[in-house]
Amino acid sequence: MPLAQGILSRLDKALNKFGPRRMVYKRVTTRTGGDDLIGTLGTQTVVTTLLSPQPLITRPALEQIGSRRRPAIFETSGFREVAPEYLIFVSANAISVADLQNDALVFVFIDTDGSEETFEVFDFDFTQLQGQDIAYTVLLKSVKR
Amino acid sequence: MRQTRDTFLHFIADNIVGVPVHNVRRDTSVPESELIQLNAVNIKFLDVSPDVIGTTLVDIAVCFTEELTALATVKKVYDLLQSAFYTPKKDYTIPASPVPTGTNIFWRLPLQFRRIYSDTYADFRITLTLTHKVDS
Repeated sequence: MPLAQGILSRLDKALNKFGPRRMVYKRVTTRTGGDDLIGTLGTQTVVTTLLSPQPLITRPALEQIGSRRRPAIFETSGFREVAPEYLIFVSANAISVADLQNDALVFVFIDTDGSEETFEVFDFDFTQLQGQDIAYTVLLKSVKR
Repeated sequence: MRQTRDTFLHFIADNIVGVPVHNVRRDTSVPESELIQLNAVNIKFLDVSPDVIGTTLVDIAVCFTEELTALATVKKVYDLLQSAFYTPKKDYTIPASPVPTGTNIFWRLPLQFRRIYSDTYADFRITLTLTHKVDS
C-alpha cells in the first residue's frame, strides 16, 4: 500500500475514535427553474450527507487585546482577512476539492438535540503526501444559526 | 418594490450583451451574493420610499480589472439608461413569463458615473432614483 494511502487510512481510524457530540454534514442545494438574478428560488433539491469519517473541529483561539477579546484573524489565499468561527480538519476520503470549491455546498453541524448551524467555506488548505491529498483544513463562517 | 427591483435587474441584464449582471444582496442561501463581482455590472438597491408614488435608490457599480473594458461597459450602460429613461414594470413571479403591470419605472438626469479609486480594479458607479407606483 503506498505510503500516502496508508497514512490516510490511519488518519480515518484516528478520527473515527472520537465520539462526536455534534455531527458534521455537507449539504448541497441545487435549484432549477428559478432566476438567480432576481433571487427567485424555483425548485430546490437539498442533499445532506453525513461526513465519514467525521472531521476534527476546533475553534480558533481568541486574542486578548487590552481589555477586549477578538477572534483570531486568518489571511486567505485571496489576501482577504477573515475571522472564521471554526476550523475543521477533514479527511480526503470524506470530501473532495470539487466539493470544497462548490458554491452550492455548505457544512451543517447538527447537535444531539437536533439543533442545526450552517457554515459556508471561507477558504481551505490541503495536506499532501507524495502528490496525494490526505486531508483538508477548512475555515468556516457561520451563516445560519 | 419587489417588481421594481426585478424589472430593473432584467432591464439591464437583458439589454447589455456579453457582460454579466450581478445583484448585490443579502441572501443566506447564496452567501457570495453580497460581494461585489469583478468584471461585471453590479446592481445594489438602497433606500426605498414606499409611498403611493414610491422611490427606490439603486447603485450601479461597473467593476473590471481592465480600465478600458470598464469604460466600454460604462458606455453600454449609459446608452441603455438614456435610451428612454423609463421601462415598463413587470411582475416576475414566474421568471420565464413576466407579466406587465400596466405601470412604468422612471429615472432622470444626470447620468453621471463616479470613479471609485482602487489599486486592483477599475470601479465606476452611478446612483439613480427609480420612481414607480408602489406594488399593489
